[in-house]
Amino acid sequence: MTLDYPAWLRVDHWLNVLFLTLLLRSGIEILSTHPKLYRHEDSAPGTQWAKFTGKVMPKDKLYDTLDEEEDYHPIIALPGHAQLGIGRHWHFAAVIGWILVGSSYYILLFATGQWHRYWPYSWSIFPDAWNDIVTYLSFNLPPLLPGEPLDAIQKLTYAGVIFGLAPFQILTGAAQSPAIEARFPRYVRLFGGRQSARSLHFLGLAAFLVFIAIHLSMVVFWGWGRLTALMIFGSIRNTHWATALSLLIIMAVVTVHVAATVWSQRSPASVRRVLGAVISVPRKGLLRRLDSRQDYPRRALSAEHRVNGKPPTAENYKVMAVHNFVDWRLRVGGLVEQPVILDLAGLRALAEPQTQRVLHNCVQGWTSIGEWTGLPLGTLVDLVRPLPQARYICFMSMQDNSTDEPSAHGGGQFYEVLDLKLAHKPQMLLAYAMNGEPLPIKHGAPLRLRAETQVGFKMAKWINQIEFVDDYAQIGKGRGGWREDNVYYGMDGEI
Amino acid sequence: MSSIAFNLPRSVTLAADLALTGVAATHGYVLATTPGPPGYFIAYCVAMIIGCLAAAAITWIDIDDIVPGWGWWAGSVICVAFVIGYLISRLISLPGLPTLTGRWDIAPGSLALACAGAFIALHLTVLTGVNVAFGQRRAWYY
Amino acid sequence: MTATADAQSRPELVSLDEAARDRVSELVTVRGGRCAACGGTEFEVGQALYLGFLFLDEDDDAYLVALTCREASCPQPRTAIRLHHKEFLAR
Repeated sequence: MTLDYPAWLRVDHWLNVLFLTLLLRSGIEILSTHPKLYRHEDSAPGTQWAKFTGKVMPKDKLYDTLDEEEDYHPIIALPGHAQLGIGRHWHFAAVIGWILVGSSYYILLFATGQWHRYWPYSWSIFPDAWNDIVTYLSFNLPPLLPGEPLDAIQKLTYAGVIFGLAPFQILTGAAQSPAIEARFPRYVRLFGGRQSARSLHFLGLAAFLVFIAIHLSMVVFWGWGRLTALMIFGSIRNTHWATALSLLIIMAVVTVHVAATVWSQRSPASVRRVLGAVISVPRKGLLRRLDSRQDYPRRALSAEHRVNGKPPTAENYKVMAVHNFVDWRLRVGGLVEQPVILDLAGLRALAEPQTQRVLHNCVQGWTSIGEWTGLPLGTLVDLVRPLPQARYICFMSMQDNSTDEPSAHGGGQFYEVLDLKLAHKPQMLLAYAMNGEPLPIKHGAPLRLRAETQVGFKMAKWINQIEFVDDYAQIGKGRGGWREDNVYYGMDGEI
Repeated sequence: MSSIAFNLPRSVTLAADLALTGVAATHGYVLATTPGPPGYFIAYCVAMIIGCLAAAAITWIDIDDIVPGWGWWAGSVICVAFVIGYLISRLISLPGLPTLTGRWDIAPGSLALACAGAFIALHLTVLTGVNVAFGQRRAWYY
Repeated sequence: MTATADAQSRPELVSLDEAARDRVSELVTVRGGRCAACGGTEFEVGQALYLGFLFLDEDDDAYLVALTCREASCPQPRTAIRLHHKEFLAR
């Protein structure tokens, strides 16, 4: 078996450079929306083990995680400037590309027998690798393994990255999907919990950065021209051309990055549409099938459940609140046979209250565990009997981002649209109580949505109207929700 | 207010102590494997080993946030002295040490240099507030 | 743990003692408070909601105190008055 550089290996290498760098930059954008890392699923304020922000939060006023969001430069983040929605689209689209490239690489490695370029032939690789390290420390180059294109320590490192670090990133990434967590809570516990998985995912990012730095240094020490000739032509020839071509390829990758950034800044709606179409294939095809079956024990409830979004400052909301929402009415209508107007007591009376103890996943990356009690959404849907043409449910909030949330990226009434097909899924709830008490004001009093396979931004708070529609294009800016309209989130929240 | 900050006092202190141990161990290895070392070199190596290990031990004394800091300062003094001395001894040959001085390609020397550099870097992160060391606490409430 | 919490146990609401309620009633009268729905001037004083923490547009010591119009025929009896902490709570 000759371990050489077949064409597929070289092509995959440069594609990997493209997708990996897209993942790194978009990953940093995602980190910037909540640049704090935790060990425990509570994400309790002050317990972070790392923070990448200098922002100070007030002690005497309610603050939320939108206030904590950071603004990173496009040099390190794609697209930069606190555009989480677009960052997520790039990250998930790049992951799909990376997995396809990686899968082709694995398949071809094993089909052609080239896997031994990374997988050691014998245990002697370890003492050989140690000798290599000692040789490098004396500023010399160690010998290549006989008949192989790598020395021992390089071989072990590549094996670690290709068979260890890369799948590790995919697994810890998947452990952050609300749909996967809701259906497989034990999978997340494998990594020590949701925040531990997130922290490990960050450490994976750091490991890739270290790997890239060492990899590029190695290519320099061993001869840029010779090694790029191997990775472009497949053999050591025309090393000057190889150097030139390698720089061209790198410039092409940089150009893609610049183009992606500019496209994202100039036309975020089209980025959302194009990348969203790609992402929706696995999101709807695989993740949407998952149902939530969470039941955390009472002792796991977070002492301080984090919050996002500030309550309505409208006077009538405050007056309703001080009277315990006796005057609050929920209007349910639209494309239904029987529209209703319910007060809180009437809503409660519709069914036995359902309670669930679940992990809340904010799109920003923090989590908390809470107990929610309320009316199953399916019960309300069955009560009003949607007409055949109804396809979506629009939840309207009393929150007005023009006046209530200074850290919001826009104004206007908050709303979110949910696919009607999700309404009867387990643990879809209209919650009016939390942790055994009436739903607190900062968590959406008097009524909020719980959609446990979805990221938190879908779960509208301070609801006073529910409308069944056949199309959401005429609502707001037509993207299916306030965050979708203003920050270009995708409409589906399974990851 | 540092924009990058960690709350890992034990991990940071452990890493720093590993670096100091690395400096000590490389000196021990060189001392053990050099044939006929001159007296001053033996004294130097023993002093380095004791100094590094003592400094490392002091960083773990769980009394307050001041005493462990002495260990860090002792470690930095030792490491800076080593770095300066090592670099000078790359340029000039020291009496009785023809194989160890006047040249760069000495693996344990490079390793010791890396360890000393790592320790100094870690101490700087503690001094600038990026990290906290064992004995110190973060007063984060958000 | 009961799932249906009753009106008295909303976590943010503060129950007032008789002295505080009397001070609120006094203030309503002094400020010429009239029910917007029916013009009545007699109100039952309810609980108080601390506004200062939850709402960015409120003073740090602002409270909203529940008032219910005593007029039996009032179409919209529930209203409120905004007060500062020291006006009715401090003593």
